Amino acid sequence: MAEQTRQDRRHVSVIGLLFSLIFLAVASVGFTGDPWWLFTEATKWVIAGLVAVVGVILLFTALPGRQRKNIN
Amino acid sequence: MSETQHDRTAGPGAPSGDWWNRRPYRSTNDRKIAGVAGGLGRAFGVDPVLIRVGFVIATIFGGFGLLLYVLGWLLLPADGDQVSAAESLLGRGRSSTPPALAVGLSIVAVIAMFSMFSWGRPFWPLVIIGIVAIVVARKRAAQGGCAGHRNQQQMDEWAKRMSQKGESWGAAAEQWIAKQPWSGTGENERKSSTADSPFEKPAFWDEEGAAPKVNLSKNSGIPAEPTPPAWDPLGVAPFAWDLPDPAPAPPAPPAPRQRSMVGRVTMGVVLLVAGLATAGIFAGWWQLSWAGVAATALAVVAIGLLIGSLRGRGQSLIGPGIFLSLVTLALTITGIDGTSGYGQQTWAPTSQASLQQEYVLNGGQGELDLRNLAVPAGSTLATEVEVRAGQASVIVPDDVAVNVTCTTNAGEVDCLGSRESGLRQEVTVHQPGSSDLGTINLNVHVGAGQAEVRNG
Repeated sequence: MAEQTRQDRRHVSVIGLLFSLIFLAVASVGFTGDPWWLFTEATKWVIAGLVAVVGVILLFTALPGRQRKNIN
Repeated sequence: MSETQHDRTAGPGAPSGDWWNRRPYRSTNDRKIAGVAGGLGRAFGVDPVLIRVGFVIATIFGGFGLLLYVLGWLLLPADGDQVSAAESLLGRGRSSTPPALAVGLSIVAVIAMFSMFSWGRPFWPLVIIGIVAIVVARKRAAQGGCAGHRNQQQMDEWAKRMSQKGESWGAAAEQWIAKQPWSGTGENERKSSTADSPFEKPAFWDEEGAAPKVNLSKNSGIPAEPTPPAWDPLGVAPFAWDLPDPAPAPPAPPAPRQRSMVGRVTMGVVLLVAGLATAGIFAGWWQLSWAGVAATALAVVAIGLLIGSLRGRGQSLIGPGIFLSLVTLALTITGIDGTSGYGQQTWAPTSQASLQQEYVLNGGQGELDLRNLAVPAGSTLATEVEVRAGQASVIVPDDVAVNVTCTTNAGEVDCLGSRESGLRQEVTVHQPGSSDLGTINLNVHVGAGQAEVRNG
């Protein structure tokens, strides 16, 4: 039963996550009103955010519970 | 997908029904770029060369051909594809066009549309006509049923016809069997016994007690009876065994994907937020730029897509998100704000008192004429002209010293003869003047369009 539930569970959509982050970035451009905001003032924040996202993903996938699930 | 299939399912000769499903297919055999002209020529029975010539001519005279071709590339599926490139972006099926190329084509199409149509009167009727066409098409599709339902109806009709034919074949076979002497039916026996015969008694082999001379029940070298085909397992219609097998039923279409609840809720919130923000602008409740309205709607889509993606759903929001992104970027580049300040405007100040610090136009053509402006010696006058979408034109006198800076987010700058074009252009020019007159400091900014400063 648990195996069946695990099989039925949908995987995370990486494409959807990627597009949602892009859309949020474009929305921030619209809120600031400066079309070049992403490439000037926000560049450092974008880089820092990307590094942080990669770090969070690594931490999340390294959690003991998820490791055991992957082994199973 | 083969040519034969397209002849049956696509083009004007196809059976009536949903026109969207009867679109021509882009040809993979007769193609120069994407096969749009080849597919249209095949569907309408026209030489593709003529269509290609039409595309080229329309591109040269106004660029409309390029837009049409790109739209055909985006909206027509290629041979072998389930859906078009644009539909594939929305997750409705498989297309041979890569998603990155489809996004690029979408951007090209939007840019071509923006460069071709102004924001004035000709633009909005096209938008309204497009929305009405989409609504009508969706309503017809809902009334006529989906393609899968139509295929199911065709299969049912085919099965009914086959059943009727089978019954008639069965009746004919029974009659044929009843007429045969070996059938053993009572009626046949009666007929054979009562049939008129020129002889007084039956033949010796038909006499009772006559022993058979040939044992037909054994293997006697006579070729075996042919086995019935699969469609006649009882073997009741041997006269039809040599007929070709019926064509296989068309494959059942894939089951339509269940629409995501996240997507529907998100789109509902998007419409609510966008409507409320727009109403607030018109009512004067808040000062929000149109880029801010689009960005708010886009942020809602992004959050909905983020939540849906974590559950493996919500990919139907990618299409609306791309559209809103393009709208947000276009509105941010222009910087259009408020509900007034559109059209053609001319300003001609003649004195320092009548010279405003800033002249602003949201969209259209604005012209500032400074030829009659009195500039006393030793004085410095400063003013700014901003046209967010359109053309800003400033005429300065020849004999006055002018320090002018022209900027544009996207478009062309012609600042006292110094020309630049592209994204984020800035040109600064100094014009020396007479010592008997003062100086004019001038800033001209255009969000998207043309900034021009010239002598008059």
